[in-house]
Amino acid sequence: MYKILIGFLVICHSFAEMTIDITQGQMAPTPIAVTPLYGATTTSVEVGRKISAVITANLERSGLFKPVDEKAFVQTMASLEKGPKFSEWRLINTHILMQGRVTEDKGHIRVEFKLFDIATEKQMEGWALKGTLDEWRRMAHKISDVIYKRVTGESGYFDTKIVYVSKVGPKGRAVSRLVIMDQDGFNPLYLTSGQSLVTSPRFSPNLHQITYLDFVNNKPRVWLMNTNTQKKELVGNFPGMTFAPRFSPNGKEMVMSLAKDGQTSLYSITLASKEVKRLTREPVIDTSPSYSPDGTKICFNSDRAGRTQIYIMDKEGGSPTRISYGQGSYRSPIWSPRGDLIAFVKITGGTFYLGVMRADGSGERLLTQGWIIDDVCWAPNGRVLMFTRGDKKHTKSYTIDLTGYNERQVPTATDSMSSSWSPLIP
Amino acid sequence: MEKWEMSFKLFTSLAALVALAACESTDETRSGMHDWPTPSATVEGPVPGSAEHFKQNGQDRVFFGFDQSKVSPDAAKTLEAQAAFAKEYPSTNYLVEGHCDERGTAEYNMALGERRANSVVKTLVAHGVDKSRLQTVSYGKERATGQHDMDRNATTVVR
Repeated sequence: MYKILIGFLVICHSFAEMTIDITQGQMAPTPIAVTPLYGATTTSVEVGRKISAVITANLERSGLFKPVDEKAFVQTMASLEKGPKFSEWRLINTHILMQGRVTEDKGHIRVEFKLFDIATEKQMEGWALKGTLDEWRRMAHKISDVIYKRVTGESGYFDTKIVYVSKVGPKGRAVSRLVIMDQDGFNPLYLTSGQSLVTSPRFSPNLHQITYLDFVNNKPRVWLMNTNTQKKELVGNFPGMTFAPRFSPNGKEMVMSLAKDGQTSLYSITLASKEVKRLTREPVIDTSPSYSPDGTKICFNSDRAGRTQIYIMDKEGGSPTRISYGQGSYRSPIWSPRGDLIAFVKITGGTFYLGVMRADGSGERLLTQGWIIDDVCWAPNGRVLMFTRGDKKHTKSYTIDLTGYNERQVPTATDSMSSSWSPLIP
Repeated sequence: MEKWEMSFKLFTSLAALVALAACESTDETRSGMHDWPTPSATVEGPVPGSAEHFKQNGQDRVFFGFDQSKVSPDAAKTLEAQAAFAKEYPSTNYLVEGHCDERGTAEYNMALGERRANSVVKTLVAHGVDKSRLQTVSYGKERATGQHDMDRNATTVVR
């Protein structure tokens, strides 16, 4: 049994009498043997190996699985075709075994796979997938999602996209471009040319649309883009600059900030009718709005009480209630897709933290810290968070498990920020 | 002794005279050859009322404290000079850009940058500049260079 124990990490600030606990994570990654898919032709053997490698990488990166080294495998692919020898796999401490085959016909492939529980010697899953040969990567992600769900009990997040802002060049003068890619960094595609400054892309729940901020003609405003056609459209006709956009969970409305005359307020817009509703009116900064997953509430940060704090209000703007009361500033709250937690950035004592709290403000936990932490978002399963970590020279996107364990850099070719996770692709 | 010194002085001044004459003759030859109306073209300075002129006075930027958008006494002086320039060149229009340092969240800093730009606009209007000549934009932390004191600014640009 592998057990990775991340102990209490207590950071003491010299100038403030406080201690901050970075959450303790306890993880026991499940040992899994992802065997190469069996194939009868050269092409099917090759594609079978590639699919297994992508599955292995996905599961390893999640931190919840520990892939068994291929060199330790106790059966050949051909022998596995006749069934697993459970006792032998048990000897090398394998808990789960994945085995399967690929058949190929004129550019189409059919992938079958089975999942076995070594302890009970029972089959857990058995599925077949069909597609064109060049869809092998998506098949690998779909299989990863099935395995993840069966073993962890939570839905997966592998057959998803990430959109982020690529930054190239010296700080302050870097060229920024939107990039969309698979969650594991493959198939990157530039969505903008780099001519204007862009930031904060976010996926629509209907997947093929993003909203983002574009400074075209020195006017920072919220835009929509179809990621397939790359057609762009301005959102609404607002008198000032608009930013911090988010879709409602049904994708029919958006909420965003409008800044004008030194005041930043929240507005919603119904996309079909273009009907605009003003949600807040205080002479303050209200920004970073995010809908609850049931669409009835909005959390946001506001400096109406001095330092920025997190508030929750009805989606029409009624009864704003402060929920954060800890030391420092709280910013960029974002509701978990599960609805129970709100993730946020906390700034205190000159350090930035990524944290989560319950939607009523209780149970605050800090997951990680840095020179700059920003742009927090959730994987569609609400188990993994993604964020930007910046040091004095670079900014990169990272993922981290909700327990505060398994922080990983998101594989991007350039400096990256403002990463956002798509829903699961159906 | 004195006599020697005297003749030395005479010699040096004669030498200088000869050198000067040589120079003059060279200049004459050149101007004769090319027939330039102005033998020494130099940049006189920016066109009055231009963006370069505005910047040259060192008055295009004001700085702010951490998470602040209040105009400091130093900034007030700069803005007074900006307003005087704007009044002297009534055909000029301005874009006031609000900027923040990198140590904040991007979205909050967009709002803070707008607040800073708006503080500058309010001050310029108070000094008699017509509001219709002033536009604002916030770059938040998007243009931050990492030099925090310099990054927290509002820059006025002649359009």
